[in-house]
Amino acid sequence: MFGKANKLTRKVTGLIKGLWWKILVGVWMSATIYCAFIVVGPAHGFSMNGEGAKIIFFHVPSAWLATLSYVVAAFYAIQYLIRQNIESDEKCATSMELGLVFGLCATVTGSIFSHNEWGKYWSFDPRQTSILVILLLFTAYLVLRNSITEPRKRAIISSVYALAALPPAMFLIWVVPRVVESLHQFANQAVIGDKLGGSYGPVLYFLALPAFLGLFIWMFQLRMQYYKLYLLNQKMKAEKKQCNLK
Amino acid sequence: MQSEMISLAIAPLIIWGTVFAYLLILDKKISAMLSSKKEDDL
Repeated sequence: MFGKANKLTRKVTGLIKGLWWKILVGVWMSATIYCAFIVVGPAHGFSMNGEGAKIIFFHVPSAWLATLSYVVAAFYAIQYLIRQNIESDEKCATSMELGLVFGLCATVTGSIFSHNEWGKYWSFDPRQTSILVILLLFTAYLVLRNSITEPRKRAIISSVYALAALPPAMFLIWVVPRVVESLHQFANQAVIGDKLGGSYGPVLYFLALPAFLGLFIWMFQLRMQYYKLYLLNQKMKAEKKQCNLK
Repeated sequence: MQSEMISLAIAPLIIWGTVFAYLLILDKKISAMLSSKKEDDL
């Protein structure tokens, strides 16, 4: 299973080498902002004469990427536990860090939406409570990871935590908001049922989501390059120490 | 209304432009440092 998944990952990363796709991410995100403000019209049933719905273009992709981060982190956590490859553990940590960043973006944009639609920045809606718990799960991972100094021990414990955190996170994201009555129901049905109007669907699925996904991959790559640089530095320091001892 | 929306779109475009430029510069710098360190190793 991992062999096939790794081949796929290598193929994907092979395809996205170079500068061209990063420029494309820039253009795609700019097009998302342009379309969100200028091309797309107001949506029926939302505040500010329907303009309040436009935050969906930034809130929904952020929330989806926070979810994706969990899945990616769990994948690398399993890979680490099977192969004991320290790079897989670093990829798991990178994914959790990005999950926290995108989760925070989803929370901030969600609070603005909550203020516009329901009158309060925080309404203690089940969806809001669940994102708060999810943010705490991400933070707990990072705190736990940074509290252990021995690399192998840190990798094993944090990988097990990343795996253990996946089921409650998925439960909070997919199950809780659907079984408990929520203020989000109208907005959810509008997005999933594509009831927002003409160009909302295409802009969300073909511009905003790919732009945010590209940004996620770019940030992931940057974080891993930084890690490689850190390793090279450590290696050089160790070599210098050895030279001085001789 | 249209001109109002255009002026509203300028701020996020500027913010995104800044973030994008920062990411590009960071990307270039890290890549350059990695390749120079690898050359040193060789």
